[in-house]
Amino acid sequence: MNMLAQKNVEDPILQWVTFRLGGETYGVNVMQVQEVLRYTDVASVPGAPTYVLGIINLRGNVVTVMDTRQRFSLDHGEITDSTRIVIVETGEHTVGILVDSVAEVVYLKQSEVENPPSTGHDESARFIQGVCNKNDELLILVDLEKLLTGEEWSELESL
Amino acid sequence: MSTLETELEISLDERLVCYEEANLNTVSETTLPSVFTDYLDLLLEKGTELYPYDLAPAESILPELSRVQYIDKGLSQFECVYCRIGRHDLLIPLDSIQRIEKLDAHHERYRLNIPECEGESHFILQMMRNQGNIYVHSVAKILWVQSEDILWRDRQARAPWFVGTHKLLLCRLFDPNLLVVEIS
Repeated sequence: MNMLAQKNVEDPILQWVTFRLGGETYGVNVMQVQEVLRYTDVASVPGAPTYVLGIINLRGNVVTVMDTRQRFSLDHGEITDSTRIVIVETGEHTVGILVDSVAEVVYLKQSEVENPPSTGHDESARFIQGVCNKNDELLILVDLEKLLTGEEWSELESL
Repeated sequence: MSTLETELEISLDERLVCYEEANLNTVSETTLPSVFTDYLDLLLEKGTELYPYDLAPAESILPELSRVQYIDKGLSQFECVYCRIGRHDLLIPLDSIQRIEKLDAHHERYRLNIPECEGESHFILQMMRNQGNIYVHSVAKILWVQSEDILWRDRQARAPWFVGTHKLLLCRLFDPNLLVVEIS
């Protein structure tokens, strides 16, 4: 094994798709991103949990779109030309997350990722898996699996 | 092609002609011409079994699980009223509806509100066997729904009266019988 390969094993490089939401920049693992869609009308679903914005038809499949702002404890935002629906895969689930805009794909070494700061009992802290200072900007890395609790994922299945 | 399929096709064709003549795709209470309401009445009278109030069966009608009702009975398609309540579009199986009427003052005897849906009401869907009235904002059309186009809910812990979601119309299939059971 040459030195470069050895270094990559010791300090793996991961790719993150970054998006903007409520003035902050977040990142999700590129391997979990299926596609990025322009905003399309989301059909509201009566009887759905509050974190569900609605559903869309993605090439014949019904995909649930999550209200990311609600989940991140942010105020309701406006739909703009930059608004995107990021289709992500987490375990057995494929869901859409509504974001203000999608920025870029960044490469991060594992060593660049720091543990999230303790924010007490803030519920949104549980799905932050790390933070990173990239180009003088704080990047918050999201653990999509923990975006919902096990119970909520089950609830989503029976939507 | 079976006799049933032929009948359904003829029936669908006739309805399409009717819609074209009336030039209606989506209608609201304010623009609903009488030809359309007459047509809905005709459909309902022809397509559903009528129970005058005084002859309605006294025994309670416990609905079967909707999945059983629609799929295991071999119904590959069924007719639905496509309507809007508040900001939600819904499909309501026609076999649970007796009449569609415009809302006016004398219709307040038994109001059935769908808990998740709110909004001003302009029409009443009168349920079979006088079980209740569903208040809706607008009625778009009556259409045949294919079972395979429904994403059926397997587990219905929340709002079990929404038995599925139509994959193309992106709206809920609402079984009013299940809501009646829930609230009674």
